[in-house]
Amino acid sequence: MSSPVITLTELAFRVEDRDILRGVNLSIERGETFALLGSNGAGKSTLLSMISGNQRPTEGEAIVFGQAPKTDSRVSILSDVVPLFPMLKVKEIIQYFDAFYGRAPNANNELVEVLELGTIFNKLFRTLSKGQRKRVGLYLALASKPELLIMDEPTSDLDPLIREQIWKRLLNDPDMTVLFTTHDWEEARAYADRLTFIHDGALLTQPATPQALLTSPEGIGARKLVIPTTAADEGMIADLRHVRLEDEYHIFADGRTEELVSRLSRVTLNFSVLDSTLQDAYQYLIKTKTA
Amino acid sequence: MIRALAISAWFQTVIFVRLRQAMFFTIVFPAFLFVVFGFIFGTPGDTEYYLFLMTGVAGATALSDGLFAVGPVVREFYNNGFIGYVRQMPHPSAHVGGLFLSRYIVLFVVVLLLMLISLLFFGATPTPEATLRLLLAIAVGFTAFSIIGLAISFIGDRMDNGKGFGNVLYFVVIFTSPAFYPIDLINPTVARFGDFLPLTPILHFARNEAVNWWPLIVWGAVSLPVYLYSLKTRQIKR
Repeated sequence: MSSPVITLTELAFRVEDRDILRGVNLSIERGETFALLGSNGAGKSTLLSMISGNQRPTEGEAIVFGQAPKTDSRVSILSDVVPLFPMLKVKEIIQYFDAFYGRAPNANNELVEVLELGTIFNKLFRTLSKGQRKRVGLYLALASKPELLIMDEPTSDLDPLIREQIWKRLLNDPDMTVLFTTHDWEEARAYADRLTFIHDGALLTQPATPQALLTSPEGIGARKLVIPTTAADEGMIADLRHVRLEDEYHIFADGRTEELVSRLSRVTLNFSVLDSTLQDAYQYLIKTKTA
Repeated sequence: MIRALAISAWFQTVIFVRLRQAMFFTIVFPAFLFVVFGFIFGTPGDTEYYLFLMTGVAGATALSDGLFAVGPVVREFYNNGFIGYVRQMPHPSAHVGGLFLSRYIVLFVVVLLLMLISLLFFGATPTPEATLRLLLAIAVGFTAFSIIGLAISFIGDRMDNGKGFGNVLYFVVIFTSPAFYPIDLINPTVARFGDFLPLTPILHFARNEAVNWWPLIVWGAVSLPVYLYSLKTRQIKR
């Protein structure tokens, strides 16, 4: 078995008495598509920055391809904001970066096609929308055919059709390891081989497949009941796995959907039975781990 | 690396040409200044004055470019994440190196433009030796002014006042140096003060006069560590 592409051991990052990351242990295998999920400020981007080598941990270590992160032609990074030259046209930016990598002009026609760059070739970068900028950033990240692709919010601001094409045609290379963050958790569920949650600088759970995170012993099950807080008292459901999200209780059925439906029906009919989501698992783990 | 540097310099020049403000202050304004000052203060046939003025305008342009066209751009490279972005690429230093090379090329074009104006409007042409001396002075001056500009930009970034420091330094240097007029004849006290500022030795060298390099060396020797320290401490700031 080959060694992991990324290994993080007790990784921590502290700034002025504030823990940005705490005791992060993580291993990502070659060819995996791995999602890092968490709310804003959870530490996702900082963790990617450590793995990219842009920042150094204050404790622990990050190992990428068997060594401390450093400039490596096998690694491509796509940050949330694509920092390119505002006064160059898209085609010039592509020429610029192609030349640095020694790539032949027009060597990546499939990328241009899938990312629909042809229509914006002659536009100055500063005039592009966020989604268009992200498409240029994706081109640059993928054009070097990296073995490890690290992406912070890669498909935010992209329309769903292009997003699907990107995942199916560009990011499904079995030789490429993909580590990404996203605010679209359904995207992570659909395309990540494994994922983990991060909250307040620490991982909430061991990495697992999206399905396993929902159905593992500490998971929440595939179905949930959603009931308005006005229709139930929290004491009534205290013995059940649940979280309160705004004006609703989300009660996780954990394989006992019919039993719970029967139990709640005696009190109110004002509830819905829905599929559990990764957000539910995240909220439930936060509640249990920080209780 | 050479190819990467050349490509970076080419596209930095393309960016420069598209920036109207940069084009104005680096190309149009110096040319305008040379023509206007030349007609107001020059006397037909007084070649010495026109060449004096030409070196002064070229030196002032190098000062302006060094203080305002490199430091703020490099600072912006760091602030917007561009440096982090290109760090993973081959030849990462070529991106900033290309910016410098581009500015050297632009400044040399400015010198050639000033020489053309000098010939066409005033009939004054520097000797080949004086031309080489001026180009060398501009290259050395621009390098030193850029280091000073980098230090000011990164310190100013912490105080949100990089442009303010740069402007104050620029105008103090311009008005106390012999850029546009022989300040030592007009006011020797101000001239003595100007001797401690970085433009004066560059102008003396360009004009083949006695040069005291120490002020420029001290400015560079202070600015470089200040810039490097600001850069280093900035990286761990969040």
